[in-house]
Amino acid sequence: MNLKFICNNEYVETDINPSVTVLDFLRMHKRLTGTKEGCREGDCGACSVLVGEMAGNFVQYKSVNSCLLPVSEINGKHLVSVEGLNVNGLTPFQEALVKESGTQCGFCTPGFVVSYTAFLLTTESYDSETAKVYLTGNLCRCTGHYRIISSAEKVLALFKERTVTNFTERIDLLISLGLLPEYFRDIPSRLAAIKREHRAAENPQDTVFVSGGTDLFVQQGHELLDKNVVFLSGILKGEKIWIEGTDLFLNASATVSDLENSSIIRKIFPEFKNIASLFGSMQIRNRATLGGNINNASPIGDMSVFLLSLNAKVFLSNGKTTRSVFLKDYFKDYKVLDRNRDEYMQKIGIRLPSGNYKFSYEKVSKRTYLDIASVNTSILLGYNGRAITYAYLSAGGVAPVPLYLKNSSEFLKEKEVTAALMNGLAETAAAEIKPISDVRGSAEYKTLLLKQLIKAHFLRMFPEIFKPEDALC
Amino acid sequence: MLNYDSIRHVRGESIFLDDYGAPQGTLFGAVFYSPSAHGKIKSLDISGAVKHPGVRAVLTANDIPGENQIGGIIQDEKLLADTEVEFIGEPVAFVVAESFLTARKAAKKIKIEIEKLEVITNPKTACEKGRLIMDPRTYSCGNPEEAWSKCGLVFEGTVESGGQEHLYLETQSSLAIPIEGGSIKIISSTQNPTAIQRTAAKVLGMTDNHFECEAMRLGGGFGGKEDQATAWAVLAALGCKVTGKPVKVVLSRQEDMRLTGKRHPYISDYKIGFSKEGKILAYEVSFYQNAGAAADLSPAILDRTLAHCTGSYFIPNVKATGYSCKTNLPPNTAFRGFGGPQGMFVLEAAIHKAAEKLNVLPYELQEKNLIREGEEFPYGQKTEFCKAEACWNEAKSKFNFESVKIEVDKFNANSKLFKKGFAVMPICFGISFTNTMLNQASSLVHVYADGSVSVSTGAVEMGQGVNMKIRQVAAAIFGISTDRIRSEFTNTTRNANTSATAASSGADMNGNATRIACEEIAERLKKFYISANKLDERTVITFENGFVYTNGKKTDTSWEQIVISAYKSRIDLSSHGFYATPKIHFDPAANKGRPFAYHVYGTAVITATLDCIRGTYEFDSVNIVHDFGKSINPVIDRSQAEGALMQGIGWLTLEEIIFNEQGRLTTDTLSAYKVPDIGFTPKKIEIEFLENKDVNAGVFNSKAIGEPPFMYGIAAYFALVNAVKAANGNREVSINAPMTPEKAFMNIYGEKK
Repeated sequence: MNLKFICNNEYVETDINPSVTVLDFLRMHKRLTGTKEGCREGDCGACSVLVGEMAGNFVQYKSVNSCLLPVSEINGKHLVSVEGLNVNGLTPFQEALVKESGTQCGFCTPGFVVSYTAFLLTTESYDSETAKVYLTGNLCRCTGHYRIISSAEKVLALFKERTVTNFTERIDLLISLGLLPEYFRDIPSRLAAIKREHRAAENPQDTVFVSGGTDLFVQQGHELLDKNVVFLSGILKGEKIWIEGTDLFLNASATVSDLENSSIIRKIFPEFKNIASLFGSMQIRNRATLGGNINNASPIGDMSVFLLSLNAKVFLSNGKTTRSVFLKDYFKDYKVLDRNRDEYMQKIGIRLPSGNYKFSYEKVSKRTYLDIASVNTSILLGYNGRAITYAYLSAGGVAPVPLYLKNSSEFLKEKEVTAALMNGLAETAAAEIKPISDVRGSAEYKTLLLKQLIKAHFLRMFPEIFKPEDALC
Repeated sequence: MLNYDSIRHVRGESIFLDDYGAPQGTLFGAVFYSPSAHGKIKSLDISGAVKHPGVRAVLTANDIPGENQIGGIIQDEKLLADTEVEFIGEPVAFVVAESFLTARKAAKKIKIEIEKLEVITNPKTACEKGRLIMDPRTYSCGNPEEAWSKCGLVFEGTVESGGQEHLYLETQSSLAIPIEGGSIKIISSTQNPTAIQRTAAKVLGMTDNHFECEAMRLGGGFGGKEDQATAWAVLAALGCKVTGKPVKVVLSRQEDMRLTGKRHPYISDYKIGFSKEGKILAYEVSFYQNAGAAADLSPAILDRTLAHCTGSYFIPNVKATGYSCKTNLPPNTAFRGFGGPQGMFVLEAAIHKAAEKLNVLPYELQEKNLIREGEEFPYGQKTEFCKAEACWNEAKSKFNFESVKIEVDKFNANSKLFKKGFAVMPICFGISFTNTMLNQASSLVHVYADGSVSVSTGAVEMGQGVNMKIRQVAAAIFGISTDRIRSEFTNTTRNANTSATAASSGADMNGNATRIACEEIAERLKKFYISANKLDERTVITFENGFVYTNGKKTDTSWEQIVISAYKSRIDLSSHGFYATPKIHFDPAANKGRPFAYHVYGTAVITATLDCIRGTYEFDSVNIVHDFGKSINPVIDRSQAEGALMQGIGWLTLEEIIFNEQGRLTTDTLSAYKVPDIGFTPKKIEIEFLENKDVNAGVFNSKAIGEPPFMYGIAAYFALVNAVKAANGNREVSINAPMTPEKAFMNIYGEKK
C-alpha cells in the first residue's frame, strides 16, 4: 500500500516504511534540508512542519514536530516544510526577522517561520500573547527570543481591523499579505482528490500500538522501524469528545489540542484553556493524545493527573471485547498498567460533575512552558455553600505512578472549607505520597511544593474565603 | 545595514554541515564511549560490532597511525582511550558503517570490562587529593596581608556556580573526504579549523599540508566548538584514512550532551575587606575550577577568571589563586565569557553580602568602587578610555536606580503572593586572547575582473554576523555595496595558521586583516589610476558609491571600469592582509602585562518577580547601557547583546547541569535540561548605546560584542536573591547558582538554617 500526500506543492506517492519519521523523509528522501534536526525529542522545534488535513471542505493546519511524526500520519494530508512557505522575495515575517536580527546562526529559524505560520493559519486572535503560545515549542539559543517576539509583533500590525470568518477568507488574506504562497488556495481540492488506502492492523498479537507517538518516538524512534507498528489513528476514528446522558466521553486518540478547542470542555472546565498552555508545546499538544499520555504511565503525566481528578474510567479493547477500569486502579506501579499486551485504549469516560463544582490544576516545572512537572496536581470539588459534597484530588511527581490521593480526597468529604481544613489537607496529602529525589527536584522539595500547590488550589477556588497569607506558611 | 546572511536563514536555504550532500559512498561513524567515569580497561571486545552487517571498520587506539593525542594546551587527552578511562563519554572505539543507524546499532555490541577506580566529581575534593591539571596560578597586586588591618569590615564566604550546556542547536558534526595522495579534506562544524588540521596531522602521522579543513557555517558555537569539535573531525579523518571512503559523523543531541564538556563549575572561597566608607581595600580569593578529566582550554579559562576577578572595580590589594582541578567529568571547555563570568560572580556575591552588613544598598557600594581612568587591574594593565563610570552614570540617570528601588519596595509592601527584587551589574571585559600568540589573523582578498570581491579569513560564521561585518569593511574601503562582496567559508588552504573564532575577537582581528588587504589593493588601484590618467601624484583618489573620486570629486570611472582596466594592465587584484593586535604583551611568569587590546564596559539593571507560593519567577525588565564603541552594525550588535544576556540569565537561573556521584550526567536530554525559551524572555529589554567620542578599539573603532553582555545575567541572579529575601523574612540565601525555582522555593519553605 502506498502513502499518498502532498508535500509542499508536490503530489507524492511512496511505499516508504510508514514508521520513518517525516523529518528523515524530508531531509533524506526529498533533500529538503530547511527542516533541521536539533534534538529528536520534540523539545527544540527546529524540525517543525505543518500538516494540513481535510475537515469538511476546508483544511485544518497544525504545527507538529516532524522528528516524532511517522510518515504514515501524513497519508492523504498536506505536509508543509519551510521551503513550502517561501514566496517570491521574503514574507513579512521573514523580512521582519532579517531587519530585527531575529535570526543569528539560522539553524532554528525555519522552525520559527513554520510555527509562526501555524499561528497565522489557525489563531482566533492576531495578538502577541497568542503568537507566543504558538512559538513556545521552538528554541533559539542565539537571540534570546526578544527580536523574534518583536518580529512577530511587526507582522501583527498588518492584521489591525481585519477579520476573517472562514478558511477561504483567511487563506486569501494571508496570500494577499504575502504571508503564504499562492498554491495554498488549491490545496483543498487537491487533497479531496486523493484516494486514500487504509492499512489494516496486521497480527495484533505482537504489535506496538502508537497513538500520537510523542513519547514513543522519543524513546525508541529507530527501533520502531523494525517493529510491527499499529497506528491507532487508523482504528480510533470518529468523534473525539461527546456526551452520553450523564457521562462525558473522550476518544483515546483525542489530542490535548482537541480538548483545548472543544466547546464541550470549555463549558464544563472553562479553566482548561488556561492550563493547556502548560502541557508540552503547541506542536506536542497537536499530536499528544490522552491514550498515549495515560499509557506512557509517566508518574508526572499531565493528562493523567488531570483525568484522575475527574475520577475517570478507561475503556480497553482487544479488538473483540471491551472492558473498563477506573484510571486510579489502572496505574499499578512504576510503568506497570492493568493492560494486556493485545489491548489498546478506546476511550475515557467521566461522570459529568454535578451540582456546584470547582476545578483547579497546578503545575510547577523548572521552566514554565514545554517542561515536565516537578509536581502537578489537580482537584475537582463539589460544594454547597461552604460544605464540600465530593472531592477528587490527584498529584504527579510524588509517587511511582500518577497518584489519586485517596486519603486526602476522603478527608475533604462533607467538611467545611476553612483554613484549618486546607492545612489539614496539605498534611494529609504529604503523608500519602512517596516522592523520590531526581532531576526534577529533591523529595523534600516535592513534598513541600505539593503542600503549597494544594493551598494554591484553595486560593484559586475560594478567593472570597482565603487571604494570600493563609497559603504562605 | 541588514545582515544578508539572514535572508537565506529565514527561507531555510542556509547550508549547515548535515545539509551538505555527502558524496556517494559516504560511510557514517558512531562513537563507542566509556560507561564508567574512572577505571582501568581490562578488556575490550569489538567482535560483535565487527560482525554486524554493514559495518566497514571498528577502530580503537591500536588503529591510530600517529600519536594518540588531541590535547591542545597540555598533551593530556587521548583520541581513543587505551588503558584507562577517566569520564563517562570518553571515546573508546569508533564504528564506521553504511548508515548512522547501523553504526549506532553495532556500537552497542561492543563490550568493555573496566576495573573501577575512585570517581571524583567535586573540584575541592580533587584539589585536596592533589589531582590538579597544572600548578596553581596566582594573580596579585598590592599587599593584602597588610591591608586587612586597615579594613573596617572583613568577612569571608563561599560561592558556587554551576556548569552550562552550550546547546548550540546544531550538534557536533564533521565530514572527512579522501583526496589523492593520502590527503584529506575535512569539513567540520568547528570554530577552529586549524586545530583540526594540526590534530588530524598529528594523529594520522602526516604533515599539516595534507589536510584541508573547512568550516562552512555553524548552527551556534558559543565556545563549545572551539576545542571540542576536534575529536569528531579527527575520528572522521581516521575512519576516512582506514576505509578510503568519505566518513561523516553527526552526534545525536544526547551524545553531544554526554560526550562534550561544558562551562566550568566553580567553587570559590573569598575574603574581602572594606573601609568604613565602603571602599574595597583587600580581596583574597581561591577559585576551584572543575576542569573535568583533561586540560582542554581550562588553563586559559582559569587565566581569564583570575584576570577578571575584580570585575569593573578597582581593588588595590588582591591575591587571587586558581586551582584547575582534575575530576572524572567530560573535560570542560570554552563557553562565552571564558571563565570571566565565574570570576565576577564571586565578587558580586561579596559586594551584596557586604551591603547587607554595612546596611547600604548594593549599588551604592558598586558605584563607590568602579574603576577609573588610569587605575590598574591586578594583571598590571591600566585602563585607557575607561567607560565604567560613563556607562554607570548613564544607566543611573536613564533608569533611575533610586526610583526602581522605591517602586520595588512599594510593590513588596503591598503584595503578599509576589515579591520583586532588582540588582545592578556593571561589567568590564578585556578583549584579546589572553595568550598573546593567538592574536593574529589573515585575510585573503580577491577582486575579480568584473569588480566583485571575495574575502577569505579565519573568522567562522556562527551567527555572530562576522561575515556581514567583514563585507562591510571591504565595502567601505572599495566604496562599493556589500552586495558586491562575498565572505567565503573558512578554509585552511586559503587562510593558514588561523586562530579560533573566539574571545569575541573574530570581527576585530579578521576585520582588520581584511581592511589591510583591501587597503593594499586600493593603493595599487589608486597608483594605477594616477599613472593611467597622467594625474599629479598628489591627487587624492578615493572610492565612493561605486565610483572613483579625485580630490573629492566624482569622476566618470566606475569601480567596474577601474578594476577591468587594472586587470588588463596586469595589476595584481589580490592581496593577503595580516593583522597582529598591537601593543599587547603578557609575562606568564609574573602574571603581569598588557594582555588586552581594550576593555568593554556596561551597566545593567534587572528586575524580577517571584511567585511566593510556587517559587517560580519571571523577569520584568532589563535595562542596559552598553559600550559598543563605534558599532559598525548596530542591528547585529544589539541582537548579540540580547542573546548573550539571555544566556547569562539562563546560566544563573534555569540551566542546571547535574552529574550523579558516579559521574553520570542525569540532565542529558532537552526535556531535563532547560534553557530560556520565548516564555522566559523578560517582558522588556532596553539596550542603550553609550555615546562614544574617545575610543580606541577594534575594527573601525567598534568594540567586540560576543561575550561581554553575558555577564549582565549576574544582575538577574541577585535580583532573584533580593526577591527571595523579601519573601523569606530576610533569611540568608546561600550563593549557589543556578537559582532554579526549586532553590528559590526551598529558600522560602525549606528548613530554616
